[in-house]
Amino acid sequence: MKKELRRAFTSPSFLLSALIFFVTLQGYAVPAYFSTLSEPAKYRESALALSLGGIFFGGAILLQPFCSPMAHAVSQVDDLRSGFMPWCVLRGSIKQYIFIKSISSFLAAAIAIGGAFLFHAIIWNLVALPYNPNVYPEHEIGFFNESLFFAWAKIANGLPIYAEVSLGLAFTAGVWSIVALAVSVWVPDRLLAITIPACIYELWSSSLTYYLFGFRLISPSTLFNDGQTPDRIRDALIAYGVILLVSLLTYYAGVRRRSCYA
Amino acid sequence: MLNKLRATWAMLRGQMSDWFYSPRTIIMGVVILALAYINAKSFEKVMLDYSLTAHFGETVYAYLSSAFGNLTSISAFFLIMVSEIPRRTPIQLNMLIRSNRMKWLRSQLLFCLVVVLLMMLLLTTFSALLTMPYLTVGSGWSMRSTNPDLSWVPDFVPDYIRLITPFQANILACAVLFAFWFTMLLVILLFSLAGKPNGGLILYVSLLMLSVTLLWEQVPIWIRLIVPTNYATLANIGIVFPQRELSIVPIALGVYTAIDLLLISGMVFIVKRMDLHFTRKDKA
Repeated sequence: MKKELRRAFTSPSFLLSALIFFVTLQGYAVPAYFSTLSEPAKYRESALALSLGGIFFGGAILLQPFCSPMAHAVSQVDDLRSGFMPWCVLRGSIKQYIFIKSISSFLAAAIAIGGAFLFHAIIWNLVALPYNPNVYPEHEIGFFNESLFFAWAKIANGLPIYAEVSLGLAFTAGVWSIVALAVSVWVPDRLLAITIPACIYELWSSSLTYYLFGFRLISPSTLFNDGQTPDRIRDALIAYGVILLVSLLTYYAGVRRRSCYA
Repeated sequence: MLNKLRATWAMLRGQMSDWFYSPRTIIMGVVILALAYINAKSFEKVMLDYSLTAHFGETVYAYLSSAFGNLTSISAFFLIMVSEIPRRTPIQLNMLIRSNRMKWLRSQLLFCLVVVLLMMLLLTTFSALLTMPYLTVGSGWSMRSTNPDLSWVPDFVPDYIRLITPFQANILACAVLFAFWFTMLLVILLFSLAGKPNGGLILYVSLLMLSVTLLWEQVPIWIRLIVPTNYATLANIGIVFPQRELSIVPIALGVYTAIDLLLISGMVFIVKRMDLHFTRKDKA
């Protein structure tokens, strides 16, 4: 486990994944901040608005399932192509290999994506004014009245919002990395391992189930997007839980098949 | 002449069959069709909800001018579908032995052309077939709401397009989308031939993603004018160049042609000098 974690956190793809997501978040924050630089600080966007803008209005949501597998899950393709996986299974067991690979991929993706968001939020809190509508009424963000963010925005400059969004991003990134593991063990292609989670995300968020079967699933960005309520969080956790379970079973079946017959 | 055609056809068939059975082609093809299905169904829903009427020609225009409703994703997945060109398989060596470098390059270019045409034909036919039961018989532009209470519903066909016939509009929309996708494939092919197969892919995916990740409203206008996705569809050109929508199209197509010629010249230069070896080990 220690070796696999070291491999995950010292690989260039881990840094690349975090960097791409960090740069994507700047796609909203940098133009929004610099276009109002000539105005007094209180009329510029607050640190909270700049931190969340990339997620609410930018393309960070689209790129998150794309960056998550890049952190470590794609190394499964290398393990298969280099013939490393059968040796690992021989020295341990299928279950042990799956456990180590899943935990390391989940943690690497979660830390890369969640960490990139936290780093982004810290930087903008240092650069821009912290969110405090009592002092700067111009900064008030119109969160939906019944949402959790509406209440949390008043606590410690929105600190609970930063924490929840980071955790939401980290958890969903971890789940997408497990999806990528399941894909890569059946289709050992690095590009497909990165792309298929993004495809599933895209079809899910475009309401494919509605047009095919007449019912809508909860949005895949619920855990880090606006309009969160306890019910919506529960539904999203159930949806991601099902995906996680199905992916783990698919991954197990793939590793077992490759170990027994490859 | 007949022999040349037969040889080109044989090479094209080899490339196509090789490409068609690749997992990337099959998986991405299914995803692209699913996205086209979602777009066609949402189009149908809007038509029914707002009592809109539509003729066949204007429906096809609505699809082509918006790149089937999802330019970024469909283009990115299409890019992944063709990202292996030229396929690193031993058949390429056989082709080279039985022809020459220039003929081989010609077959690659022809392959790019046919793939783009096929993709456009497939998506247009698929989307049109799904919408067919909801269409109104007739020609010309009609897609205005028949319900006076819904006069605020935005039109799928803007006023500047209503000045020309649906057939002409479809030709223009088709040409713009074809030029964008064909140039995209040529860039991928050029990078592959130059030994950097992932370079073109990263460059184009970044350009496509830039269109959704950057806050364009706050970016200087000159940056917006040089981003290729703004010239990817007729609708996008109309947004970037208000009041000059149709007059810009020939200029945009001319620029695409010039870029394509430059890319092809670059490929000729590379192919004449490069070492050609295609085995599975070279796969990116």
